[in-house]
Order: sequence, then structure tokens, then C-alpha cells
Amino acid sequence: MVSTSTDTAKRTDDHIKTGWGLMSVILASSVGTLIEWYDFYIYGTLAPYIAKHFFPAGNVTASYLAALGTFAAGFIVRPFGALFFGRLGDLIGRKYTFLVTLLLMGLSTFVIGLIPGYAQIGMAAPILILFLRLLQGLALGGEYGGAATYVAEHSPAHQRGYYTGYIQTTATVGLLISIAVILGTKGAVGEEPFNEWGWRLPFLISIVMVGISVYIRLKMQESPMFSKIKHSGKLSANPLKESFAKRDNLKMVLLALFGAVAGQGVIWYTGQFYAMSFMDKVCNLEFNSVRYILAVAIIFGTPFFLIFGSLSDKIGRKWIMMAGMLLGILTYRPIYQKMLDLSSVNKETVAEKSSVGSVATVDAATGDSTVVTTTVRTFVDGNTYKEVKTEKILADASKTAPKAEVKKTVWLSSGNWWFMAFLVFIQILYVTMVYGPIAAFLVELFPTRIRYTSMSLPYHIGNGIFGGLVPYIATFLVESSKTADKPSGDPLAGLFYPMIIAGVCLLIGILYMPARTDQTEHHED
Amino acid sequence: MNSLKRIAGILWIVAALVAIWFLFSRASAELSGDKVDPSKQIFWYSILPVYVPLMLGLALFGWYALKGEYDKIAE
Repeated sequence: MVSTSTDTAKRTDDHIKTGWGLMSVILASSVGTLIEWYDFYIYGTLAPYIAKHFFPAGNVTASYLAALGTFAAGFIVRPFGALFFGRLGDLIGRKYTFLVTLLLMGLSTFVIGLIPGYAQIGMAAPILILFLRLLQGLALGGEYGGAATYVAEHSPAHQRGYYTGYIQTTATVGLLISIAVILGTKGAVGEEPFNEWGWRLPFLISIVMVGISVYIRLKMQESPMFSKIKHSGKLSANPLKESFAKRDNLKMVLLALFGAVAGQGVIWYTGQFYAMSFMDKVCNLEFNSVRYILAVAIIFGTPFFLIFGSLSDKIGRKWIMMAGMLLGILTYRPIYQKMLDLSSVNKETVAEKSSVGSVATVDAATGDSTVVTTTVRTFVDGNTYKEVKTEKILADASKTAPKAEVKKTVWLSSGNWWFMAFLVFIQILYVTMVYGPIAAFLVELFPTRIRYTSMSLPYHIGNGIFGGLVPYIATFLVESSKTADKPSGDPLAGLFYPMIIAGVCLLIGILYMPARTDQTEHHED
Repeated sequence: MNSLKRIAGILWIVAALVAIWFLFSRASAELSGDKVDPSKQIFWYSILPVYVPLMLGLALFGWYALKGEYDKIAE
């Protein structure tokens, strides 16, 4: 019997669709995506160090560049990356496109670790950093859609949610690894060297991981679905036009964005990033403690990406995602109120020790002095609070002294620490409900010929813009709630933004979204 | 169900227009004055060009819903 090329292709396809063949495809894709998320997050996590070395506070232009780096890379550039690389992925294939995004991200990250500081090369330093950060945003915009599409197109239809669930874990695990590498490096080199040069190591380490991942990806085959339409000559000649200029597809892009991804984005960013920022800035918890709480919540939460991905194969994607949004809307305020209560310093004090500081420094030229007062209080629930107040006393009494700086730090008792971790875990659970099934959902909504382009744009608008803006809009809402009568404002006011976006998305999703996208067939495939 | 989908289309169009009005009114309030914080400028100059087209997208979604484009999507 003569073996034909069709037979060989079928055997390869069958091999991939089962057991280790499929698992190796998933792991190879996931490792690369994980590294891309790691690269993207370390910039954010090390932002204070980057600001210190590249964006000096006194320089207005540098401050503009710093803010632009935050906004442009996170929000504006990512959708452009989605369009650029999505188009490329639908024209030349998934494999080579997400290889390029991985290289682009890896090299940008590595070079960030090499750029001399503002003190050495002046304004060239922040400009270079901004440029590299934009490249990171572009790369991220192209990576996710490719990886999700690639894995989904290898997976059997009835297990697509489960297998794409692995790709969905990468964003959260990437954050976990970035925290682990930063805390590990800090511990290994020490606080002072880390402030000086050690913060560069997490950027430089990335090149090793990227190298391994590129090697793995080079060995991968093109997606079978893409290969099939390529060989049958059914590739799209103009994926951008077909995706966004044709009403039939554009309406699905809009439905994906407003009926699923926008809500998913705000639930994700609230559970993962706003929770961290809230513990840091509102609860005033100690820096490392916040990272450990988040790490524990992520470790316990991550398997649920696979659980909800798998469940979505059985009962459909829609209602799991809708349930995640509804739970967020209903419970965010009580959860964050409890987080505030756990870290509150307005409790019965069992011990208080104040050291009214001696004069720390006296400026010989002006005669101004600085007084540092440290107060440590232990509360009845076991929490400890430390307040360091730094006041400047001017020698010239006719001048107005600057406002005293107050640094507050709270250490939670063991019981409260675990309770806080549980509250963050609940939020991560909501993230897994909305995010676990979404890759499979997006893949199923669009035909193979324009899938990479069509799914990447709503994903990065939903996550980059609607989700990415959560910390900024939430802070803006809290600031806006401050009045003369209530100068501290409503610390929970920021939650209205994710609740409103998730609410609108929930209504649109319930009304318009098909119940079983996994049973949709795209005939041109 | 299809009637509800179409009627709700009006809601999405109105919501999008209200959001655009809100964004512009807040931005003008925040950016007026002699000395404006540079970070606020960056914030609003980034938010407006990004959010306004998105809200127009929501209005377009509402328009499609109103015209019955989503009636045929499988339940």
C-alpha cells in the first residue's frame, strides 16, 4: 500500500491531537507566552527603580515620558500590535508570527537592562526606555492572539476550553514569576546593591528564558487548521479589511468586545492589579507582605483556569464568564470593605511605643533641621502599625515649612494575613471564571482565515484599555470623592468603574451572546 | 427576545453618547486653570483619543442591535 501525503498529514494531525503530541504543543506555546508576560510585568513591578534611574522627578520632560511609557505601552500600542501581528499571522502563519513577537519582547527587555541611567547619558536614557517599552507593548499585542489561536487550532473541539486554559494561566503565572524573581534577586544581592544595579538583573535574566523558548518554538509545526486553508488557497488576501470592514465580522468583533472582553478585562485587572495597589496604597501593608499575599492567592487560584476552561467545554463558555462578572459586581464592595477592616489602624491598641526622634540632620548653611518621629503600635487583633513622620523645621520662622512626610506601614497578624490572602484568592477565582474560557470563546467566534486579526484586537482593547485603566480611573474616582467635609474621600469609590463596565458587559453578554460558541461551525474552514 | 435586543440597542447608543459627554466635561474641568498638573494632562490626552472611539464603537454596536443584526445569533 502506498502512503500518500494526505495520509501522512492525517497521521501527524492524529498524533498531535492526542496525548503527549498535543501536550508538547501546549507547553511550547505556553512557555513563550509566559515569558512575554514576565517581561511585560517586570517593567511595571520595577517601575520605582526605573523612575529613579531614568525619569528624575525634577525634570518635567522626563515625567512626561514616564507617564507616556505607562499609558502608551499599556493601552495604545497593544491594540496596534494586535492589528500588525494579527494581520501577519493570518497572512504568513501563526508559528513565525509569534516567534517574531517573542524575539521582539525578549530583546527589548534585555536591552532595558543595559541602558545607562539619566545620570550618565541624560535625556537619551528616558527616550530609549520609552522606545523599548513601546516595542514591548507592540510585541505583547501580537503574542497572545497567536498563542491562543495556535493552541486552539491544535486542540480537539470538545476540549478546546481545557487546552487553551493552559495559555490562560500564563498571564497570572507570569506575574507570579516576576514577583518571585524580583524578591529572589533582592534577597540574593541585598537591598542597597539592588537599588543601585541589582534591579537590572531580572531584565537581563529574561534573555536566557527567551533563548530557550525561541529554540522550542522553532521546532514547532504550523497550526493544522491554518495549513489546511493555506493549501486549499483560502487564505484571506486582506485580513484587516475582512475583519473590520465587513459588517458580518465587525458586528462579531463589537459583540466580543462589549459582551465579553471588556468585562473580563476589568475583572482581571481589579482582582490582580487593583487588589495589589489597594493593599499597597490604601491598606498601607508592608511591601513584601503584599507580594506574598498575591503570590499565595495566585498559586491557589491558577488551577481554576483549567477547571473553568474544562467546564466551559461541557456547559458552554457564556454562563461561566457571565457568572464571574456578576459575582464581581455583587461582592467587590464587601470584599474591599473587609480588606480595609483587616488593615484598619482605628482599633483598640494594646501597646504603643513612640520615639520622639532626635534632630536627624541640621543643614549647616540654612540652619534648618529635620525631625523624625517613629511610632509603633500593636493592636488587640495582633496587627502592628509603624508610622514614620519626617518634619522639616525652618530656621527662618517667617517661611512656611513643607508638609510633613508620613510613611505608614501595617503588618498583619497571621490570622488577618491569611484572611486577606483568602479575599484576594476570591478575586483571582473570579478572574479564572472570566479569563479561563475566553481564549476558546474568541477563537470560536471567528473563522480561521481572519482569526488571529479578529480576536487580537478586541482582546487587547478589552484588557489593555478597559482593564488596564482600572488602577488609574479608580484612583481618579477616589480623588474625586474627597470633599472638605470628608478629606479622605470614599476609599471604595474606585470600584464603581469596574462594576459599571462589568455591568454593561454582563447585560450585553446575556442578551446577545450565543450560548454555545463551541458548537459554532465556520463553513469556509 | 429579538424585540428586547433591538430596544436595548437604543440604550447602548444613549450610554455611549452620555459617556462621551461625561469624558469631555470632566476633561475640560480638570484641564482648565492656570497651572495644570502634567500627569493630569497626559492622563486626559491619553484617555480621550482612546475612549471616545471606543464609545463610538458602543454606539455602532447599539445601531447594529437596533437594526436587528444580532437577531440571527444562535441562542
